Amino acid sequence: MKDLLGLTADYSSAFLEGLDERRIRPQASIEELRAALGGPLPQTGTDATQVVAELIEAAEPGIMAMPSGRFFGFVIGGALPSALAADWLTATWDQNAGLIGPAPSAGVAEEVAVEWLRELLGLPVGVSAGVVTGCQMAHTTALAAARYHVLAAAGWDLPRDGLQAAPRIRVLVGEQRHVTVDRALRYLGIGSAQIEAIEPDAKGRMRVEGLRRALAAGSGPTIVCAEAGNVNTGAFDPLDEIADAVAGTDAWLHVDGAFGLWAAVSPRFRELVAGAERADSWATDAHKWLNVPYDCGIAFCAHPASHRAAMAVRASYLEQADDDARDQMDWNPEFSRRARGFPLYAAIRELGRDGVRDLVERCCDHAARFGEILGAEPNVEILNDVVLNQVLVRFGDDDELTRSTVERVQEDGTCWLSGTEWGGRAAMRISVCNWRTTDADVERSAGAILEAAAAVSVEA
Amino acid sequence: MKDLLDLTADYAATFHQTLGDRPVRAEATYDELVDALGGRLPEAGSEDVQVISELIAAAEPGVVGTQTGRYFGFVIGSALPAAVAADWVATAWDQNAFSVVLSPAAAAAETVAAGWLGDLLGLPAGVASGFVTGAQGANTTALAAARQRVLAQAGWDVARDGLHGAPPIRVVGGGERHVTIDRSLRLLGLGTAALELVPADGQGRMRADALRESLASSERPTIVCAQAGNVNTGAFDPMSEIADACEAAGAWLHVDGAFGLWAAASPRYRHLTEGCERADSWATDAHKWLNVPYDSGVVFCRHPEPHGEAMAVAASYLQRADGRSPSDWVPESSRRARGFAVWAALRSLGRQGVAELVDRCCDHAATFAAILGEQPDVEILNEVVLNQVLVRFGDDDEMTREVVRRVQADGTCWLGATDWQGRAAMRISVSSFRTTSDDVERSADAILAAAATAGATR
Repeated sequence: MKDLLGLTADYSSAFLEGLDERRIRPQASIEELRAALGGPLPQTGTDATQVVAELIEAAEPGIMAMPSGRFFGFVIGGALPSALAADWLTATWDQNAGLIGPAPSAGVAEEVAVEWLRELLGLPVGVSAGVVTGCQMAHTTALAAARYHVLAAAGWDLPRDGLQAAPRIRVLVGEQRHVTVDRALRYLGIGSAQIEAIEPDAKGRMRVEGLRRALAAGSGPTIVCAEAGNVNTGAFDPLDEIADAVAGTDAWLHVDGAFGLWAAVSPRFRELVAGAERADSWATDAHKWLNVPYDCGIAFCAHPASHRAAMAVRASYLEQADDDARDQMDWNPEFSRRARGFPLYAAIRELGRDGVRDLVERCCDHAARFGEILGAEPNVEILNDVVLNQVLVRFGDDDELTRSTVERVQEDGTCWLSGTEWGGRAAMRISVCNWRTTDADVERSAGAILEAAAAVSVEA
Repeated sequence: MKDLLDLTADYAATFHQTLGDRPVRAEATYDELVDALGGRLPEAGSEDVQVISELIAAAEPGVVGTQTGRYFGFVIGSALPAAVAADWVATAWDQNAFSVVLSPAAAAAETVAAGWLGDLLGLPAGVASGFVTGAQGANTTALAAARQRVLAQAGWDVARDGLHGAPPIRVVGGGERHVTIDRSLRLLGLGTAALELVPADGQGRMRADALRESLASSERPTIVCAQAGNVNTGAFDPMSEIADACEAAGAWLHVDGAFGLWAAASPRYRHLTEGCERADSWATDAHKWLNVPYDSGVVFCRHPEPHGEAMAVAASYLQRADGRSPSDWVPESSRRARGFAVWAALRSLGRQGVAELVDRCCDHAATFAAILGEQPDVEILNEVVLNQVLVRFGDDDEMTREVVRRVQADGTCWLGATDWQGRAAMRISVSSFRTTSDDVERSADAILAAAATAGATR
């Protein structure tokens, strides 16, 4: 065991220390990887050290260097050193973190970490929390609590009687919501045709007048989903006004704050999320901006009884806690599960409140710098107000040129980012949320982007 | 970084090497752990090496010995060395295993591991697969596919129109199904009132004759949930008969095989799962009997279309490439690269090694039953067909629970209590690759000593 873990630690150190020299994109194709990893199921066993050596050799060429400070794709984030090491401890201890009694450290670490997180994110005292795989399942969990709550208020016993004959639930969302909201609803038995989209303003934010009209136009159990941090632009729905519109109705307000909710940790950016604390539920990620390794997200809920009623289950073969103790599985849709509390705990300990604030502000500064450098060039347009950590860039006001530039940048390997569409126009999307990203990474990457754009436009 | 990772690796190696000397139970109480880990949100940061040293010092006393060979609680399993190391590498690489574009390596490892698993578990070629957090997520995913399909057959698109106003669905389950099934149904918006229970026999097996009657009683869209391996007794529902009945009724057959499906990997136990291969969907765990670290479960589905319709995402900012996109088959979007650890576990054991692991655990369970069952006033409540043993002391509920408490407190081994058809029982589950014959003897001795001090045995 010592040799095996020593080898794995040596390799991991070398991999992480070599990130700076590495091309960000994968080197191997999916076919090459399948060939290298594949073949028939082995008949006999192999020594563990050899297995891991072979895994590294076969898989590493297909690794995207997401932990690098020059990975700007999607909204991803790296892994803080102590969160990484705590995640190794998690696998070492291999606790089943479903119940607190049979694995108390995992339960306590999670309890402590979510309370710290609640305070960091400025959420009300007394909210309940479930630690899940990511914002997708945080939505599913929060919206399951919402579904239970609004139907219970209408006198319907959802856990027993299901949705088919229940009062119809209205779901009001911003037109620019993230697709994970739709996916969570589909999972919960609420179809795409049941979702009413509220028109956005030019920046993609939900228009409050539209929301007010929609709320007034219907009645019955209603859930409103607002967004803190658009996945393209970083823009925030006007949360305070939305909370005003929802107040006085019986609607449930859910906030999708996968990364945007983290603005609350910074005095510079806090005003963007003003009003978020008035919601009924919140979904966020720890594997994005907090830089905890994959996977880790959190659902918070202002109605613990509904949250628990939507999730909890009892059985005689489970050694479950009394009602006043917190069994983790009462707050998430999993049963047996990884002890996600350990890396979450370690990340917050490593950074402290000051460190989380610095991390958020540094990423936003980097995003602003990208906006400045790229926006200063002729034929390059920044499509969004860079209010947070997201930058949308368009080249030559041309879809094809923009997409080709993205491909060229990916191929070059200095950095990695992806394409999107915004307002019907193709754009390059830059997201900065890795603790490793330095000024030098931004300069180097902006240089590579401009070179790629120049090369593409010459060819065009 | 190197210092930190070396320290962690050294600690982990020592932890593993000293497992034999540790009590299996947690040593610290909840309050002690809250004191050690808690306190106010720190304002300033700390050095990473210090954070990890403090986490180890604070949390280790509350860690239970699931990694020892003497943890027999629930159905848990340890973690194979190769799988732990692969899980470490997965963390170091920190891949978001959402799509082929984001991480071709993570996607390829899943594709290969899913193929190997399907082969090992005797499933039909061409089934769709998804890597999830465990059998709970696997059951939910499979039942979401089932919901999509049986409603489509009734002319209803649940992905578009939702469940409100949809034709009623009937879900038929055994009286001794696992509670995760009910929880999945609730999550999917199908109330527990939609669940029709078929009586089980004394081992917890769904009665096929009663299922046939139940299926004949209604024409509604129907999903049948059968079980491969009861969580208490290890018993298997009669799959071939159930598959015949479902086929005749046009019902979707789902198999909950969290650990039991692994019997298919052993020539000695394969007969128990006969008929499973005829199901429409299957849920199983890799973190139980395959001894992969938490968390890891797998869902398989014979019908890729409703599976994809129920799960897949598509949006303009999600680039596509050829091949199986990992998140199209699971309820997660951003997610851990679970394929690496499963790949490494299968590679390290091979087909033979998995069969030996299953056989060895079942032999250990039989030994427990033989040693304990020969004592006066000790009763083995189940037929030990697999890796589960139910033990009752002095034919008395309170006495049996007291013996379990004493065993837990003693710390030689760990196991839990259950109720089996109205009677309290000690539940022993053997699913760790580490368990040796010596572990079984030591643990059986500790159980008998606890029974003696509790006055359960003469």
